[in-house]
Amino acid sequence: MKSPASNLTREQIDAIAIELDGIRDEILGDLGERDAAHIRRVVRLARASSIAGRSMLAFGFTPVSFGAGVALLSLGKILENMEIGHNVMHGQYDWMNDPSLDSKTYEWDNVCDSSQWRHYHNYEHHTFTNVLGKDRDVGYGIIRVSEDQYWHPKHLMQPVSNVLLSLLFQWGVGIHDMDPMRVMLGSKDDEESRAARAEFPAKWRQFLRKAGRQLFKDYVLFPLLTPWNAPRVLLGNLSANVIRNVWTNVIIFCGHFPEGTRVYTQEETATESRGDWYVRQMQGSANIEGSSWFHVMTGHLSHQIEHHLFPDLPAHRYPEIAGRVRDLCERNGLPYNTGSFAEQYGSVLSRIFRFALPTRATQAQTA
Amino acid sequence: MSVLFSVQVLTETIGSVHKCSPMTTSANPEPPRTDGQPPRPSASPTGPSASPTGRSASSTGRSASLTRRSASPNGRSSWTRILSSPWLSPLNDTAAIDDLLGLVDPTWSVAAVRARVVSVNRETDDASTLVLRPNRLWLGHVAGQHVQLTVETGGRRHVRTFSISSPPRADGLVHVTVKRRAGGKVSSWLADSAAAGDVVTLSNPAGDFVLPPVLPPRIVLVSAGSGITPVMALLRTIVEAGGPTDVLFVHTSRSRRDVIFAHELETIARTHPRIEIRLHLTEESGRLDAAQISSIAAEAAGAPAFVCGPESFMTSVRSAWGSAGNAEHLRFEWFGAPARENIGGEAQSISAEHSGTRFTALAGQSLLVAAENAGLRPLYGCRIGVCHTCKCHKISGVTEDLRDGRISDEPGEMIQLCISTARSDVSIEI
Repeated sequence: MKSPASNLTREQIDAIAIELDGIRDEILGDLGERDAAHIRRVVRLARASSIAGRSMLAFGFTPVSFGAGVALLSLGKILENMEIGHNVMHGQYDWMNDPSLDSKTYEWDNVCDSSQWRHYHNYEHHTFTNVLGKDRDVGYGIIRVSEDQYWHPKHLMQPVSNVLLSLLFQWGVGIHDMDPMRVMLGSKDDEESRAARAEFPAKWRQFLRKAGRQLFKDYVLFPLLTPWNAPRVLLGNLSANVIRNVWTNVIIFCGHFPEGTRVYTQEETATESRGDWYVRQMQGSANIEGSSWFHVMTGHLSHQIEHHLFPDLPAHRYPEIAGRVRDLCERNGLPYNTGSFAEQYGSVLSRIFRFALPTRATQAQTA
Repeated sequence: MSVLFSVQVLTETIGSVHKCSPMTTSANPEPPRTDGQPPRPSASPTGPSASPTGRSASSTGRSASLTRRSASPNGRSSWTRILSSPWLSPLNDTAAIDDLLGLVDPTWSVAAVRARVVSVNRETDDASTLVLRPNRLWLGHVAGQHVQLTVETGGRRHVRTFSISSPPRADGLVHVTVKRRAGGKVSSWLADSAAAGDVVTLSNPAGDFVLPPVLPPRIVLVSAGSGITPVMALLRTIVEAGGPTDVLFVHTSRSRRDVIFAHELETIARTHPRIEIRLHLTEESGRLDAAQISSIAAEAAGAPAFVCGPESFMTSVRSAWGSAGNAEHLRFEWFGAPARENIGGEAQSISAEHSGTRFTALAGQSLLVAAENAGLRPLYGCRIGVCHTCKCHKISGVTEDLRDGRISDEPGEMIQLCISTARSDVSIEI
């Protein structure tokens, strides 16, 4: 269980911090017209695609227009959630001073309340990335993705629960901040469980309000706008939501769970410097290779490594700096985890199957 | 339903028609009168309803055109509530509707006052007047008020406050006169790059630097440098009213070349015997000293006086009027005095606007820690600048990013408390 990071000297780690800070500084100094134009182009594309998709579902009659409508609406929802919502809520475009792209007030097309998302994603996940017991995104409380996580009989089910989670992913994301595992199963003596229970009622009401609006929009309001086509619109909206769920789930699982991504214990990260933090972000994340179109469709989470280093830089800049980050990793003997979509997701699936079973004691000790 | 909604939106926003509708004028303070009639009580321009939030001219007005069609206040609020309900999202997404309307005409909007630059008139080497035609959401202004102007350069929106230099005009055009400040992003852009056809975003007008509803027999106007812009709106109003009002206008400027509106001032002085205009050029006769300002104060006696200029100038005017016992007749216009950066590294005074308290931040200390030491409990997360939980609006002042030394000196920018330290007195929304 030697950490690659521990092979680095203090000087190396400090040098890594200076180099990465330099890259961040350079991009921040260069932000301008091009970045504003990019995000506005994607916003328009997402809107146009959603309007076209919803119109085809509402006014069409053939299975072809149904299929095209679902595809366009899915595209609109995926772009809105990934390249716009996720990135805007990270504060990537706050420098523009545009109220419609303001990280504090943006509300996305997803049953997860934005303020809850900002708490557990921006704060918990991005600060304590891959720290067991702190970053609840490691397996989302139901999937065991590392031998360092304790095995529980529920993990035998995880090849199935993974499929269910991907189909219902926005609901998983929606209830995640309430920490349902600690609320339901946590012990009375555990401080974090007590805190989760105390916050539960307020967060639950917030969740119900947001989820209610989302359900009303896709399954009442839009179907009733064209009553003659209501069942078709409802089914189309449901399909688009499920397609978006599966896509986001698959992309996000490729970000932290492929073979080679590290998890950390709380002791290991107790006295981290900025350089240690950078190294942990690089070692806990994995990229997916693909075309520029593919990158936009993933909200540039295909550059998860760069995203975790610089969560508040406009995401379309990640491909520009990926070469330098990779070079830095190679010079310091750090792995830079990247691969094709099939390789990365295949690797995730193999881990989900493998860690469904308890790891043999001998293996755990010697690994 | 979506079609109906769009049609309504269109009928209420199309075009930038001349703004003489009864709706628009009734939403405003009364224009000054010289007929001795008392103003309508609901429309006092100097009343306590005047506020710096951009609503002073619109206490009876609308916030957006979505509410235009209903007349009664109750009807208006329920319409607003229904149409802006999150349950109707995304049908009522005003950003999306504006974006679509903007493809047809960039001044069309359901939510924002957009104005087309009709022409840019050069006044002096470093001052220009933008002649603007606002869309129908503009509520109209009263001479002497100011407006917030938003321009976008390099992908960033910048908001600045400028005086309106014109009185309300029959053709609906609004004049904003801007003097270029060294290093001023917005003033430079407006003075150098703005051109006919450009579109800018405005707030609605605000400010109580306005003439009394009934013009008194004598008025004193005092301005320095670009402080002439709101004063000029007042002077033009008095000239247009054509009543029996005596005016003493003292303006100080560096040289004759720097006097904004010089030509018009000459014409007014020539053709209006009741209006006396004194130019004081500092290049020729030095700065106005305390004795000279005191003698103006003595001449002003009990007449209402309107003053606009740099902070130091206004301070000396105020003390002169104070010693002459005329302080209550004095009206000031000052806004947007830029925060001065303090490199000395001493403690700064922080004003927390939401909690209504003031505290001190040490040099190099993060504002989050300083606020916590003062007993405040702002929201926070990572405390290392990653999660943006502690982000808040900085109303004014200069802050520095502790990680990379980046300076935030724009009013209204968002800052992260945990990695920001104060470089001047700062006002933040916590």
